[in-house]
Amino acid sequence: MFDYLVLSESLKLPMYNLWIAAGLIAGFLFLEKQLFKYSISEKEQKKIYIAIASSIPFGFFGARAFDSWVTGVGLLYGGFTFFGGFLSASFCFLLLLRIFKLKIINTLNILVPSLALAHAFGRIGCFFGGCCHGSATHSFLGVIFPQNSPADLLYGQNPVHPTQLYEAFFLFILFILLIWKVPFRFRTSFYLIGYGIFRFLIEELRGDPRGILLTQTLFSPSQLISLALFLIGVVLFFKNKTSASC
Amino acid sequence: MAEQKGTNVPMILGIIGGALGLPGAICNGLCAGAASSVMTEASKQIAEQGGQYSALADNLSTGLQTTLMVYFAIGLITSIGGLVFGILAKKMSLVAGIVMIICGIGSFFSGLLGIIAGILFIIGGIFALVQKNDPSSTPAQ
Repeated sequence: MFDYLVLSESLKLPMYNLWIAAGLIAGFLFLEKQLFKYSISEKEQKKIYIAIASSIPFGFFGARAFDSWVTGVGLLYGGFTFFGGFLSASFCFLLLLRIFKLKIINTLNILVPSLALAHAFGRIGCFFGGCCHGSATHSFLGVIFPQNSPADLLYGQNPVHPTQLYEAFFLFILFILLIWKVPFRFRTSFYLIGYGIFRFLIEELRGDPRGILLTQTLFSPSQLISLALFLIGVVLFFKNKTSASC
Repeated sequence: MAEQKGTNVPMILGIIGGALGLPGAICNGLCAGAASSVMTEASKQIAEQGGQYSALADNLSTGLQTTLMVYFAIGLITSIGGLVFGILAKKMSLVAGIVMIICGIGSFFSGLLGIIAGILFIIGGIFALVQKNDPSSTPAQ
C-alpha cells in the first residue's frame, strides 16, 4: 500500500485519486481513437462527449450515495462504490443518448472497452489506497497490508487476497478481448456477461464490509447487481444475434 | 485518415485537477463536521461551568462550520466543473476554456490540493482557449 505520493510535509497527493485520473485519461484517449476508427461524425462525437461529461457528476454522487446506503456510513464519510457510480451514470448517459437520438447499442459498443480500461486503472488505485481488499489467505498470492490500513484493522498483519489486483488483471484481459476478439456488435453484451460473472465470483473472496441490500444476507449488493448485469447481457446477446441473422 | 483537431492537454489537466480537487473538497466537508462537533462540545462545557463565553463559543462554532461548508461547496463545484469542462474542451473549446479558468480561480479557495487543482485548471483553460480548431480536419464520413 502506498496511499500518498509525498511531495512535502504538508503536500501529499492521494494515489487512489491519481490512479482514477490515469484511468479516466487512458479511457478518454482510447475512446477518441474508437470514435475516429468507427467514423463517428463530429456532431455525434460532441453529443457523446456531452452525455459522458454530464454523467460523471451523477456517477460520483451515485458511487458515494450507494456506498452510504449499503454500509450505513454518512454521505460525507463513506467511500465510492463502482456499481453505485455505474448505475447512476448509466441511467443519466442512456437518458441523454435517447434525448440526443443516438444509436444506444452502437454508442455503448464504442464505449465499453474504455470503461473496462479506466476501471482496471481504478482497481490498481484501490490497491494503493488499501480499500476493496480480500479475505485472509495462506496462498502465495496473499498480501500483507501496512498497519492501520483497512485490511490491517480487520485481519491484523495476516496476508489477504489482493482482490483489487485480481480484478485489475481481469479487466485488462477483458479490455484486450473486447478490442481484438469480440465482434463489435457483441461488445456490450460480452462486457456485461463477463464482468457480471467475474464480479459475482470475486465477491466471494472480498474481505471488506460488503453491506446489505433488501435485508437479505445470501448475496452481497454487488452480487445482486452482477446477476442483473449478467441477465441484461444475455438478453442483449440473443437480441443482437437474432437481429444479425435476420 | 485526417488528423483530429485540438489538443488533449485541457482534458488531461482537467481530469487530474478534478481528481485532486475532489478529495480536498471532501476533506473540508469532513473538517466542517469534526470542527462543529468539537466546538459544540466545548461550548456545552463552557455553558455547564456557567462561563460568560458560552455565546461566543456558540458563534465561533457556527461561523467555523459555515466557513468550512462554503469551502466544501466551492471545492466540490469547481472540481466537478473543471473536470467536466476539461473533458469537453476539445468539442467546445471557448466555453470550456472560460469555465475551466473560472473553476481554477474558485479552486484556490478550497485548501492546498485545491490550489494545485486550480493551477491545473487554469493552464488547461488557457490551452483550451488557444488551441487551433481547424474545421477541415474532421474524420472521414
